[in-house]
Amino acid sequence: MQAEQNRQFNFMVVDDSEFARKSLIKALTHAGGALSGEAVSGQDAVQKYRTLKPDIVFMDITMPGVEGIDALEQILAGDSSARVVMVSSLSHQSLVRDALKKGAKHFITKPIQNAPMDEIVRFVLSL
Amino acid sequence: MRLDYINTFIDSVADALEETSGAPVSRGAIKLRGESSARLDIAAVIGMTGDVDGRVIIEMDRVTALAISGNMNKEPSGELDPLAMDTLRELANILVARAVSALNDRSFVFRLTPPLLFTGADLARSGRINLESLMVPLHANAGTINLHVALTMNT
Repeated sequence: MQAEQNRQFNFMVVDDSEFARKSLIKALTHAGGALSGEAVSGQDAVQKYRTLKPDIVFMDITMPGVEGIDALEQILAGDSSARVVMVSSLSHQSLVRDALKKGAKHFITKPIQNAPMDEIVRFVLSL
Repeated sequence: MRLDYINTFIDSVADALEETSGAPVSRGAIKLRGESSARLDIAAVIGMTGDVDGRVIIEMDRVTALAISGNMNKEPSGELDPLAMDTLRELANILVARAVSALNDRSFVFRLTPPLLFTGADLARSGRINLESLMVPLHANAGTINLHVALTMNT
């Protein structure tokens, strides 16, 4: 009952790394989220988003096949209200600017353990 | 290799390792080698392109690899199973991507390929390239990680 009351949002994680997905799931569950799905590629993410419609998508950028930024654009093309947070080991300014310009709601740099996940989730849900 | 980017590269990798491990990291003496090759039990090889050509190797012994994987997963890694290997691959990606981002913010154009992980008998497949290589040991709580940087600037 307590766990149900604490769940505030549904999320999907997208990363080709199992370790990265597990880390995100742990952090986001701790922040009060409920996992609605996982995807291992950009293409997988776009397809799953259509059926799952999570409150927030946390998506890696560098993945084989369809990369995260392209998947972001495709998700937004289908649902302009989608909330997508990019998660990446790369963090140079031009990349972050590009992601935000293309519609990402936030950008988290790996490793995620120091990211203020509660604050990020609250901020993104308020958009 | 040029000092202006190599120092930033090494500093960024060390900082990222410190952040990932949650403990201080100290640097050992830099050594120059005439070629780039992996010698320890586990090596992640990352190709570099853009303003440079070459590769970066992040290598460690098995004990260190298991300790690092255990720390990152918050549970002991008893063997180099697929999750442990994936964790180490992700570590290599985080470390080198930090350096690439720092340099890109200084107007260099560095790009990296996804890490390839080699262990044991496969290590020889990581190859050897005849490119001058800097080797820096990074001493973390879990053990020592050797960072090899073998890059040439594209003119």
